[in-house]
Amino acid sequence: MTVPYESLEELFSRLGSLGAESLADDIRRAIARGTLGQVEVRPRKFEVTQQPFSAEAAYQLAAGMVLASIEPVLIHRDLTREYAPNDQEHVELSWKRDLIEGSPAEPRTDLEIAFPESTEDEIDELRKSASALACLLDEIDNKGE
Amino acid sequence: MATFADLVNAVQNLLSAGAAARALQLNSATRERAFEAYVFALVLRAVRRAGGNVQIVGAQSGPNPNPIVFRGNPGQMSSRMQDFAYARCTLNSYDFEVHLDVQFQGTSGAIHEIDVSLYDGGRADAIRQTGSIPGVRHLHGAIECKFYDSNLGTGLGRAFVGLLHDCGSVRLDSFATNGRSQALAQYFTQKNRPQPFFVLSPLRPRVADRFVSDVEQCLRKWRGV
Repeated sequence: MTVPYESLEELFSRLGSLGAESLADDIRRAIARGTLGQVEVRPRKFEVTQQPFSAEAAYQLAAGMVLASIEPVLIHRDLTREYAPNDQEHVELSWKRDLIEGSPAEPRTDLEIAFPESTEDEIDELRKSASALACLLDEIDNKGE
Repeated sequence: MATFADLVNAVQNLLSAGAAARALQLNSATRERAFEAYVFALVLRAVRRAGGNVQIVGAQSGPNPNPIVFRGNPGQMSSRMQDFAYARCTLNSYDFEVHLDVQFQGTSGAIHEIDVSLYDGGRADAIRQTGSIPGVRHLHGAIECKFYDSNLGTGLGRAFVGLLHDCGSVRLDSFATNGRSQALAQYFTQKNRPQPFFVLSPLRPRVADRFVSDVEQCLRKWRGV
Protein backbone atom coordinates (compact mmCIF):
# COMPACT_ATOMS: atom_id res chain seq x y z
CA MET A 1 0.00 0.00 0.00
CA THR A 2 1.24 3.51 -0.84
CA VAL A 3 1.47 5.67 2.29
CA PRO A 4 1.18 9.45 1.65
CA TYR A 5 3.72 10.59 4.30
CA GLU A 6 6.34 8.13 3.14
CA SER A 7 5.67 8.97 -0.49
CA LEU A 8 6.20 12.64 0.23
CA GLU A 9 9.52 11.98 1.97
CA GLU A 10 10.57 9.72 -0.89
CA LEU A 11 9.71 12.48 -3.35
CA PHE A 12 11.86 15.02 -1.46
CA SER A 13 14.68 12.52 -1.36
CA ARG A 14 14.36 11.83 -5.10
CA LEU A 15 14.35 15.53 -5.90
CA GLY A 16 17.49 15.89 -3.78
CA SER A 17 19.21 13.09 -5.67
CA LEU A 18 18.29 14.80 -8.95
CA GLY A 19 19.90 18.04 -7.73
CA ALA A 20 16.56 19.82 -7.29
CA GLU A 21 16.94 20.72 -3.60
CA SER A 22 15.67 24.25 -4.17
CA LEU A 23 12.45 22.90 -5.68
CA ALA A 24 12.06 20.52 -2.73
CA ASP A 25 12.53 23.47 -0.34
CA ASP A 26 9.98 25.53 -2.24
CA ILE A 27 7.46 22.67 -2.11
CA ARG A 28 8.07 22.34 1.64
CA ARG A 29 7.38 26.08 2.05
CA ALA A 30 4.14 25.86 0.07
CA ILE A 31 2.96 22.86 2.08
CA ALA A 32 3.87 24.47 5.40
CA ARG A 33 1.66 27.46 4.62
CA GLY A 34 -1.38 25.19 4.74
CA THR A 35 -4.65 25.62 2.97
CA LEU A 36 -7.96 27.38 3.48
CA GLY A 37 -10.72 25.52 5.25
CA GLN A 38 -14.02 26.33 6.89
CA VAL A 39 -15.12 25.76 10.45
CA GLU A 40 -18.70 25.94 11.66
CA VAL A 41 -18.52 28.41 14.56
CA ARG A 42 -22.30 28.38 15.12
CA PRO A 43 -25.02 26.38 13.42
CA ARG A 44 -24.84 27.31 9.71
CA LYS A 45 -22.27 30.04 10.44
CA PHE A 46 -18.90 29.27 8.83
CA GLU A 47 -15.58 31.02 9.13
CA VAL A 48 -12.47 30.58 7.03
CA THR A 49 -9.39 29.18 8.73
CA GLN A 50 -5.88 28.24 7.70
CA GLN A 51 -5.47 24.49 8.04
CA PRO A 52 -2.63 22.06 7.44
CA PHE A 53 -2.75 19.96 4.29
CA SER A 54 -3.48 16.28 4.64
CA ALA A 55 -0.49 14.20 3.56
CA GLU A 56 -2.36 13.19 0.43
CA ALA A 57 -3.26 16.77 -0.49
CA ALA A 58 0.33 17.82 0.25
CA TYR A 59 1.61 15.18 -2.17
CA GLN A 60 -0.87 16.40 -4.76
CA LEU A 61 0.44 19.95 -4.36
CA ALA A 62 4.03 18.68 -4.61
CA ALA A 63 3.19 16.75 -7.78
CA GLY A 64 1.72 19.91 -9.30
CA MET A 65 4.84 21.92 -8.50
CA VAL A 66 7.13 19.21 -9.90
CA LEU A 67 5.06 19.14 -13.08
CA ALA A 68 5.20 22.93 -13.39
CA SER A 69 8.99 22.83 -13.03
CA ILE A 70 9.25 20.55 -16.04
CA GLU A 71 7.06 22.71 -18.27
CA PRO A 72 9.60 25.41 -19.28
CA VAL A 73 11.63 22.86 -21.24
CA LEU A 74 8.48 21.86 -23.14
CA ILE A 75 7.52 25.50 -23.66
CA HIS A 76 10.96 26.24 -25.06
CA ARG A 77 10.67 23.41 -27.59
CA ASP A 78 7.09 24.40 -28.55
CA LEU A 79 8.03 28.04 -29.10
CA THR A 80 11.04 27.11 -31.18
CA ARG A 81 8.67 25.21 -33.48
CA GLU A 82 5.95 27.89 -33.40
CA TYR A 83 8.26 30.71 -34.50
CA ALA A 84 10.08 28.68 -37.15
CA PRO A 85 9.07 29.98 -40.61
CA ASN A 86 8.79 26.40 -41.92
CA ASP A 87 9.71 22.80 -41.08
CA GLN A 88 13.17 23.10 -42.63
CA GLU A 89 14.29 26.32 -40.98
CA HIS A 90 15.22 26.48 -37.35
CA VAL A 91 14.74 29.55 -35.20
CA GLU A 92 16.75 30.12 -32.08
CA LEU A 93 15.27 31.70 -28.97
CA SER A 94 17.41 33.54 -26.49
CA TRP A 95 16.95 35.78 -23.48
CA LYS A 96 19.28 38.69 -22.83
CA ARG A 97 19.46 41.26 -20.12
CA ASP A 98 18.22 44.76 -20.74
CA LEU A 99 20.86 46.67 -18.80
CA ILE A 100 21.87 50.30 -18.66
CA GLU A 101 25.21 50.96 -20.32
CA GLY A 102 28.00 52.03 -17.97
CA SER A 103 26.37 50.60 -14.84
CA PRO A 104 28.85 50.27 -11.92
CA ALA A 105 27.63 46.78 -11.03
CA GLU A 106 26.35 43.79 -12.97
CA PRO A 107 23.97 41.01 -11.87
CA ARG A 108 25.02 37.49 -10.92
CA THR A 109 25.70 35.24 -13.88
CA ASP A 110 24.03 32.23 -12.22
CA LEU A 111 20.72 33.92 -12.96
CA GLU A 112 21.32 33.76 -16.71
CA ILE A 113 18.44 32.30 -18.68
CA ALA A 114 19.43 29.05 -20.33
CA PHE A 115 17.79 25.81 -21.39
CA PRO A 116 19.44 22.40 -21.37
CA GLU A 117 20.21 20.57 -24.60
CA SER A 118 17.80 17.67 -25.10
CA THR A 119 17.03 15.44 -28.06
CA GLU A 120 13.59 15.27 -29.68
CA ASP A 121 13.14 11.77 -28.25
CA GLU A 122 13.99 12.93 -24.75
CA ILE A 123 11.53 15.80 -24.98
CA ASP A 124 8.85 13.48 -26.35
CA GLU A 125 9.38 11.06 -23.46
CA LEU A 126 9.24 13.94 -20.97
CA ARG A 127 6.08 15.36 -22.55
CA LYS A 128 4.35 11.96 -22.48
CA SER A 129 5.05 11.43 -18.78
CA ALA A 130 4.18 15.04 -17.96
CA SER A 131 0.89 14.85 -19.87
CA ALA A 132 -0.08 11.69 -18.00
CA LEU A 133 0.61 13.39 -14.68
CA ALA A 134 -1.30 16.53 -15.72
CA CYS A 135 -4.35 14.43 -16.67
CA LEU A 136 -4.22 12.60 -13.38
CA LEU A 137 -3.92 15.81 -11.35
CA ASP A 138 -6.86 17.34 -13.22
CA GLU A 139 -8.93 14.24 -12.62
CA ILE A 140 -8.18 14.32 -8.89
CA ASP A 141 -8.82 18.06 -8.77
CA ASN A 142 -12.18 17.75 -10.52
CA LYS A 143 -13.16 14.93 -8.22
CA GLY A 144 -12.51 17.19 -5.22
CA GLU A 145 -14.72 20.01 -6.51
CA MET B 1 -10.86 6.46 -11.06
CA ALA B 2 -7.40 7.83 -10.16
CA THR B 3 -5.91 6.58 -6.91
CA PHE B 4 -3.12 7.96 -4.77
CA ALA B 5 -0.89 5.10 -5.95
CA ASP B 6 -1.54 6.17 -9.57
CA LEU B 7 -0.40 9.67 -8.70
CA VAL B 8 2.80 8.44 -7.04
CA ASN B 9 3.53 6.23 -10.05
CA ALA B 10 2.97 9.11 -12.47
CA VAL B 11 5.37 11.34 -10.53
CA GLN B 12 7.97 8.57 -10.43
CA ASN B 13 7.61 8.01 -14.17
CA LEU B 14 8.08 11.70 -14.84
CA LEU B 15 11.19 11.90 -12.67
CA SER B 16 12.62 8.82 -14.38
CA ALA B 17 12.41 10.42 -17.83
CA GLY B 18 15.84 11.07 -19.32
CA ALA B 19 15.51 14.84 -19.57
CA ALA B 20 13.78 15.34 -16.19
CA ALA B 21 16.91 15.90 -14.11
CA ARG B 22 18.15 18.62 -16.48
CA ALA B 23 14.68 20.22 -16.64
CA LEU B 24 14.60 20.44 -12.84
CA GLN B 25 17.93 22.33 -12.77
CA LEU B 26 16.50 25.45 -14.40
CA ASN B 27 16.82 28.57 -12.26
CA SER B 28 13.75 30.58 -11.32
CA ALA B 29 14.51 33.36 -13.83
CA THR B 30 14.52 30.84 -16.69
CA ARG B 31 11.24 29.32 -15.55
CA GLU B 32 9.55 32.69 -15.21
CA ARG B 33 10.77 34.03 -18.55
CA ALA B 34 9.74 30.83 -20.34
CA PHE B 35 6.24 31.10 -18.95
CA GLU B 36 6.01 34.77 -19.99
CA ALA B 37 7.15 33.87 -23.50
CA TYR B 38 4.49 31.16 -23.60
CA VAL B 39 1.75 33.65 -22.65
CA PHE B 40 3.15 36.11 -25.22
CA ALA B 41 2.82 33.40 -27.90
CA LEU B 42 -0.76 32.66 -26.83
CA VAL B 43 -1.66 36.35 -27.16
CA LEU B 44 -0.25 36.37 -30.70
CA ARG B 45 -2.33 33.27 -31.46
CA ALA B 46 -5.41 35.18 -30.26
CA VAL B 47 -4.58 38.14 -32.52
CA ARG B 48 -4.39 35.79 -35.54
CA ARG B 49 -7.62 34.05 -34.56
CA ALA B 50 -9.34 37.44 -34.38
CA GLY B 51 -8.27 37.98 -37.99
CA GLY B 52 -5.24 40.13 -37.30
CA ASN B 53 -1.72 40.03 -38.74
CA VAL B 54 1.32 39.41 -36.57
CA GLN B 55 4.96 39.99 -37.35
CA ILE B 56 7.85 39.45 -34.97
CA VAL B 57 10.26 42.36 -35.15
CA GLY B 58 13.77 42.71 -33.73
CA ALA B 59 14.60 46.16 -32.36
CA GLN B 60 17.86 46.18 -34.35
CA SER B 61 17.34 43.69 -37.17
CA GLY B 62 13.73 44.37 -38.14
CA PRO B 63 11.11 41.79 -39.23
CA ASN B 64 11.52 38.04 -38.65
CA PRO B 65 14.68 38.05 -36.53
CA ASN B 66 16.67 34.90 -35.96
CA PRO B 67 17.53 34.46 -33.15
CA ILE B 68 14.46 35.87 -31.46
CA VAL B 69 15.77 37.70 -28.41
CA PHE B 70 13.46 38.17 -25.43
CA ARG B 71 14.17 40.36 -22.43
CA GLY B 72 15.73 38.51 -19.52
CA ASN B 73 14.57 41.21 -17.13
CA PRO B 74 12.15 44.14 -17.30
CA GLY B 75 13.49 46.92 -19.51
CA GLN B 76 12.78 49.79 -21.85
CA MET B 77 10.56 49.64 -24.90
CA SER B 78 13.14 51.79 -26.70
CA SER B 79 16.16 49.73 -25.67
CA ARG B 80 18.57 48.84 -28.46
CA MET B 81 21.14 47.21 -26.19
CA GLN B 82 20.10 43.90 -27.75
CA ASP B 83 17.92 42.89 -30.68
CA PHE B 84 14.91 42.63 -28.39
CA ALA B 85 11.85 41.22 -30.10
CA TYR B 86 8.28 42.45 -30.03
CA ALA B 87 5.24 41.66 -32.16
CA ARG B 88 3.82 44.22 -34.57
CA CYS B 89 0.12 43.51 -35.04
CA THR B 90 -2.63 44.89 -37.24
CA LEU B 91 -6.27 44.28 -36.49
CA ASN B 92 -9.06 45.97 -38.43
CA SER B 93 -6.55 48.53 -39.80
CA TYR B 94 -5.28 49.43 -36.34
CA ASP B 95 -1.58 48.94 -35.52
CA PHE B 96 -0.52 47.85 -32.07
CA GLU B 97 2.38 45.99 -30.54
CA VAL B 98 2.72 43.18 -28.05
CA HIS B 99 5.74 43.46 -25.74
CA LEU B 100 7.37 41.31 -23.12
CA ASP B 101 8.74 42.71 -19.86
CA VAL B 102 8.51 46.39 -20.63
CA GLN B 103 8.30 49.24 -18.13
CA PHE B 104 5.53 51.85 -18.20
CA GLN B 105 4.95 55.03 -16.25
CA GLY B 106 1.64 54.87 -14.40
CA THR B 107 -0.76 57.77 -13.88
CA SER B 108 0.84 58.33 -10.45
CA GLY B 109 4.26 58.68 -12.07
CA ALA B 110 5.43 55.34 -10.67
CA ILE B 111 7.23 52.93 -12.99
CA HIS B 112 5.56 49.56 -13.50
CA GLU B 113 6.82 46.40 -15.13
CA ILE B 114 4.21 44.66 -17.23
CA ASP B 115 4.92 41.08 -18.25
CA VAL B 116 2.90 41.08 -21.47
CA SER B 117 1.61 44.41 -22.74
CA LEU B 118 -0.39 45.66 -25.72
CA TYR B 119 0.53 49.16 -26.81
CA ASP B 120 -0.42 51.55 -29.61
CA GLY B 121 1.81 51.01 -32.67
CA GLY B 122 2.27 54.64 -33.68
CA ARG B 123 3.04 55.70 -30.14
CA ALA B 124 5.54 52.83 -29.79
CA ASP B 125 7.40 54.11 -32.88
CA ALA B 126 7.59 57.54 -31.26
CA ILE B 127 8.86 56.04 -27.99
CA ARG B 128 11.66 54.26 -29.89
CA GLN B 129 12.64 57.62 -31.42
CA THR B 130 12.72 59.58 -28.18
CA GLY B 131 13.91 56.84 -25.81
CA SER B 132 11.36 57.87 -23.19
CA ILE B 133 9.44 55.56 -20.88
CA PRO B 134 5.97 54.95 -22.31
CA GLY B 135 3.02 56.22 -20.35
CA VAL B 136 -0.17 54.26 -19.86
CA ARG B 137 -2.43 56.44 -21.99
CA HIS B 138 -1.84 54.25 -25.04
CA LEU B 139 -1.54 51.02 -23.10
CA HIS B 140 -4.33 48.67 -24.16
CA GLY B 141 -3.54 45.43 -22.40
CA ALA B 142 -1.65 44.16 -19.36
CA ILE B 143 -1.14 40.52 -18.48
CA GLU B 144 0.58 39.41 -15.32
CA CYS B 145 2.36 36.06 -15.63
CA LYS B 146 3.33 34.04 -12.59
CA PHE B 147 5.24 30.81 -12.63
CA TYR B 148 4.08 28.31 -10.00
CA ASP B 149 6.07 28.52 -6.78
CA SER B 150 5.41 28.82 -3.06
CA ASN B 151 4.76 32.58 -3.40
CA LEU B 152 1.60 32.10 -5.44
CA GLY B 153 -0.79 33.86 -3.08
CA THR B 154 -3.21 36.74 -2.63
CA GLY B 155 -0.40 39.31 -2.48
CA LEU B 156 0.31 38.85 -6.18
CA GLY B 157 -3.31 39.51 -7.05
CA ARG B 158 -3.34 42.62 -4.88
CA ALA B 159 -0.15 43.91 -6.48
CA PHE B 160 -1.55 43.39 -9.98
CA VAL B 161 -4.86 45.07 -9.13
CA GLY B 162 -2.87 48.00 -7.72
CA LEU B 163 -0.82 48.18 -10.91
CA LEU B 164 -3.96 48.18 -13.06
CA HIS B 165 -5.44 50.92 -10.91
CA ASP B 166 -2.44 53.08 -11.88
CA CYS B 167 -2.80 52.21 -15.58
CA GLY B 168 -6.09 53.92 -16.33
CA SER B 169 -8.48 51.83 -18.40
CA VAL B 170 -6.92 48.94 -20.28
CA ARG B 171 -9.01 46.78 -22.60
CA LEU B 172 -7.40 43.51 -21.65
CA ASP B 173 -6.28 42.55 -18.15
CA SER B 174 -5.55 38.99 -17.14
CA PHE B 175 -3.60 37.13 -14.52
CA ALA B 176 -2.01 33.97 -15.88
CA THR B 177 -0.22 31.24 -13.95
CA ASN B 178 0.66 27.61 -14.48
CA GLY B 179 -0.11 26.97 -10.81
CA ARG B 180 -3.07 26.65 -8.51
CA SER B 181 -3.96 28.83 -5.56
CA GLN B 182 -7.22 28.63 -3.70
CA ALA B 183 -6.63 31.99 -1.98
CA LEU B 184 -5.77 33.76 -5.21
CA ALA B 185 -8.75 32.23 -7.02
CA GLN B 186 -10.97 33.52 -4.22
CA TYR B 187 -9.39 36.99 -4.51
CA PHE B 188 -10.20 37.22 -8.22
CA THR B 189 -13.86 36.25 -7.79
CA GLN B 190 -14.66 39.84 -6.75
CA LYS B 191 -16.33 42.03 -9.37
CA ASN B 192 -14.07 44.18 -11.59
CA ARG B 193 -10.98 42.12 -10.83
CA PRO B 194 -8.83 40.81 -13.70
CA GLN B 195 -9.67 37.51 -15.32
CA PRO B 196 -7.48 34.79 -13.75
CA PHE B 197 -6.19 31.73 -15.61
CA PHE B 198 -4.82 28.91 -13.48
CA VAL B 199 -2.89 25.82 -14.66
CA LEU B 200 -2.22 27.53 -18.00
CA SER B 201 0.22 25.17 -19.65
CA PRO B 202 1.08 23.47 -22.93
CA LEU B 203 0.14 20.25 -21.12
CA ARG B 204 -3.44 21.47 -20.76
CA PRO B 205 -4.58 22.49 -24.26
CA ARG B 206 -8.13 23.17 -23.11
CA VAL B 207 -7.03 25.77 -20.58
CA ALA B 208 -4.69 27.32 -23.16
CA ASP B 209 -7.54 27.41 -25.67
CA ARG B 210 -9.81 29.09 -23.14
CA PHE B 211 -7.15 31.75 -22.55
CA VAL B 212 -6.69 32.35 -26.29
CA SER B 213 -10.48 32.56 -26.80
CA ASP B 214 -10.81 35.04 -23.95
CA VAL B 215 -8.09 37.29 -25.40
CA GLU B 216 -9.55 36.89 -28.89
CA GLN B 217 -13.02 37.98 -27.74
CA CYS B 218 -11.52 40.93 -25.95
CA LEU B 219 -9.61 41.98 -29.10
CA ARG B 220 -12.71 41.56 -31.27
CA LYS B 221 -14.77 43.71 -28.95
CA TRP B 222 -12.05 46.34 -28.75
CA ARG B 223 -11.45 46.64 -32.51
CA GLY B 224 -15.03 45.91 -33.59
CA VAL B 225 -14.30 42.76 -35.61
